[in-house]
Amino acid sequence: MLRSWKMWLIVLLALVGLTEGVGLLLAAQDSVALSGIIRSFGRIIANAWVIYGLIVWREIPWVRRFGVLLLGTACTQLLALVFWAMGWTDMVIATLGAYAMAVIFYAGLWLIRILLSPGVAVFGVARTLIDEAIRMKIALVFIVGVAILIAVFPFIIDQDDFLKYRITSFLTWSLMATSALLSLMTLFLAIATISREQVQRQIFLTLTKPVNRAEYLIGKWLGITLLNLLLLSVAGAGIYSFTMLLNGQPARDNADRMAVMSQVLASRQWIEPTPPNPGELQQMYDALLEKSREDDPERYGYPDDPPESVLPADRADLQQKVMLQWFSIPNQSAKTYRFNNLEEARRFNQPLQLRFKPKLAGSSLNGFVYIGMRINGRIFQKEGITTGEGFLKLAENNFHVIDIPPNIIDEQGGLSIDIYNPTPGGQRQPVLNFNPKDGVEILYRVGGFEGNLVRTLVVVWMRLIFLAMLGLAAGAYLSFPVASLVCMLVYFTAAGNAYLAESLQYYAAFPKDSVPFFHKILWLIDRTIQYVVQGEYYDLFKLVIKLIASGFMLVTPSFGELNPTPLISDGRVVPTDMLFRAVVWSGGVWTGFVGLIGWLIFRSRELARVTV
Amino acid sequence: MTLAASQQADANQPPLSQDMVVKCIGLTKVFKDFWLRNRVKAVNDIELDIRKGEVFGLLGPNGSGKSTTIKLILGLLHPSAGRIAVFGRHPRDVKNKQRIGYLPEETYLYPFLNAYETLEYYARLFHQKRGIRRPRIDTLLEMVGLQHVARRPIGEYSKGMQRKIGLAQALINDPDLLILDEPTSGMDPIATADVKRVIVSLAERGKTILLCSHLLSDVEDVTDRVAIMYGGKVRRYGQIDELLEQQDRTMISTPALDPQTEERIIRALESEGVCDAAITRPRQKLETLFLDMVAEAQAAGAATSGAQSGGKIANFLATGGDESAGEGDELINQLTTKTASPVDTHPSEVEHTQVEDRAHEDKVIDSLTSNEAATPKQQDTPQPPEEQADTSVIDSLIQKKDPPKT
Repeated sequence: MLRSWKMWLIVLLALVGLTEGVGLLLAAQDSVALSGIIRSFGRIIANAWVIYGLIVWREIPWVRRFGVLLLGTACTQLLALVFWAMGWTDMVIATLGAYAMAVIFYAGLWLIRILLSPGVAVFGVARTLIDEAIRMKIALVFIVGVAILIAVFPFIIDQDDFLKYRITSFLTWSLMATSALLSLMTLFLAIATISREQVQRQIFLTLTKPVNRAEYLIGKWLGITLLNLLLLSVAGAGIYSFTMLLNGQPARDNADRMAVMSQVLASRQWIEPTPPNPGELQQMYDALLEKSREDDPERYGYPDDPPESVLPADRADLQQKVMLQWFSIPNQSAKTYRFNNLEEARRFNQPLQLRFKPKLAGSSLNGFVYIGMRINGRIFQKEGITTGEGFLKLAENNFHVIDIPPNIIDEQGGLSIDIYNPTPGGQRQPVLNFNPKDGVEILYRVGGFEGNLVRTLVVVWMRLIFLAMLGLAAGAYLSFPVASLVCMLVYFTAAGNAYLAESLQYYAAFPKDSVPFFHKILWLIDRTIQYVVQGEYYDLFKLVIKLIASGFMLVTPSFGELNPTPLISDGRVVPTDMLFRAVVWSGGVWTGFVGLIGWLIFRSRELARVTV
Repeated sequence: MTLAASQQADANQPPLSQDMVVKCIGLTKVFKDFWLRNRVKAVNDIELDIRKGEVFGLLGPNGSGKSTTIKLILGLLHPSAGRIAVFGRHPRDVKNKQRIGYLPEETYLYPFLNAYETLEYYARLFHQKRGIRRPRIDTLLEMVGLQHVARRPIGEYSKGMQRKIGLAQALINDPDLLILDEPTSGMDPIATADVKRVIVSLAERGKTILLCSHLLSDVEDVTDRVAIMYGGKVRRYGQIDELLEQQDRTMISTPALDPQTEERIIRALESEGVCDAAITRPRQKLETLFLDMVAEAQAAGAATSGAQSGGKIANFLATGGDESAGEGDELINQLTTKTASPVDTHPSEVEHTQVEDRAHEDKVIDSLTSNEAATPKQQDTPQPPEEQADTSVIDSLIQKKDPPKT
């Protein structure tokens, strides 16, 4: 059989060589027409011979792969031609982009198979898992979904919007879709592969070979991890390509174009403001607490009570009020916001960006806000937005970005920005507010979009690594439906960890963290008896739920803290700290912990056990 | 019994002799229900051992505990009581697995892999390098007659074809202990004969085989010792010849006799007080008839789209892992071929043997119907030892000149 397909290949090469060679000779002798005829005829015969060979030798692996590629290319070209004939240029690009991703995926798969070809048990299990994922179509559905969504997203975004927002939307949606779909695929694949092998008993034939159970689990995990690496690479290539495609489209104006280059397709570090006086916020808090205790001693305690006696929820409430107060500037007042640690920005010698969003606590003056600004003592003015009085006229409740040259940074490596709430034209302006979280900040470029995208994908990959081990551990012991439910619970808890933690804080009363553990137990007993005696069963129920939820959250990782999508969509750098925590905690500690539990359960499991 | 307790108990047991591959002492397995109550005693205090180089049959009706016993040997189940050692180690010891080949009662293969990929997968699990596993895979596929469908997914195979691939994966590592649970299930008679040929050949090459089957005729043809289970217990245990030999009957075999001679023999036996003597035409086995038909069709070149008859035994099995061809392999194949193999035997040899047999049979008939003594047949090939019939009694019954010997 081998000899025969080699003969087919030799004949093909000879055919092509002969007809092209003769054609070139004739062309050299000015027999152009005859040359064209012979070459065309030769190509027709060669194509027919190729198709014949692809059909006859389709069971030879490389012939099958080549045939699939050829068929895929032909179908894609045909489809693109149809779209082009109908005038749907966007669909042409989407089709070709999706096809390119499929080809990269196919080639990557072949490389992974080569990588896993040595005679090692772990590699054997990994390779079979990849075959299962592709051929049993568990993963294929998600893969196709990711490819289509990424290819189609750029063209369903509002084409009339600013280019900056179109690119930001595309990055947000494509990364979210990629992360969500791949997370689900990872969980279902991991659970299915191991639970199904136990039900259908293929595991009997595997584990009666010299493979211990740890190697089996590691092999499965390795296969899913490599598959995810490939899929993220393909998705990343697609996201990057379509981002550059969007970048090539015309912007609304020069400012839009500049915004794209400096604020979206960039990797920026951000600095939050601090008060010039370090104790200023604490003084504000103490003053607010004192006033609150005068107004409501039942809730905040009496003046003689120590500050630590305030409940966490009330303390957080007061802190938020302090921040709101600090970010509020009454009319004809000014506040100074200090930005430190800008030495790195000076080293990069890139323009700084002051990003802020002014809001008024009342009616604005025709939808505009007027502010006065000084940067390190120098009055700031900008052509086009500076009024005759020297104030900046800005649209209310919108983000504004002002470029600041790096040479303004003072010797201490910081910037002091004074913001003044004026009376423009003698008209009193309401209190000026900024959002405490991102109302005022300084950003500066530390790298490019490409590196940031890679870091983003690595963080997502670490998450998928953990989910793979979670699915395997659950599937090793539980049935597919039960394991799926458990893993979904863990996944959504991990993804919404920050939101859940904040919600639980307000959900039911509980002693603050500084209270000793034994006192917490006593408090719990006392409160439970109180609820029962007073018939407040709903409060008791809430307390129980809070305890269970808090305990569950302790044993799940926090994906919310390690979510790079909002950062890259906003042109912010995915910090090394996040990358490190993702690799160490998600990819290392949590994965190892879950893997250890899974192995301990799996190693002593009777695979052929029957429950009668 | 937990895994840890079992391993601890195993550490205390005396070492096996070098001839003992599997030893079970007081082996018990109880299955529990969801509430962990004891419900079914699948294996109940069995004692058996399997010696090196023998073919051991494990028989019993459905639910007698055969497959459970095999799973205990393989470490897929923990014993509830008793001890078990395989190659002197705990059944779950990974070192054991290197020497064991297992074909389960149902072939649990991955439907999305083709035959070649399936064997590659299992070869990788044995850490076989590419240079060893690829030729071995090709050889095994040829041996089981599936080389022409090697690239078709297993999910598209018939049951018999899947069993063949299952057998191939059980042999991929040239195992010292081969465990076959219903190996011929779903196979046609050709394939069944091939499997039996493989079993016999492997046993002759020093492999130990544990064969579990319902098909008693298949087991009878190939096993050395058997254990018959019922209700989780071993009811009969020993050499198959000893177990099957009927001490209360005598069978005499002659070439075809005419009715008058038959009648005379019956009357002679009745006169000796043998009341229930009967003369019947022996029947060949249906398997033999089937295989002869297939051999004729193959010799005539009839086309078929089904599985082909298997090839010769893989060389690496013949020589214990050495891939070079073993001498005498052809001879061994001829010696172990019980029925007319369509591939290996030459028609002229069969014909010559048959002619010789017929000539000898004629002589025996003549001796019975006349007063001449029958001459012993000159055997070209070794035959199983037979007890020589005391022809003096018959001779005397039909008025021979020589007096009866006492």
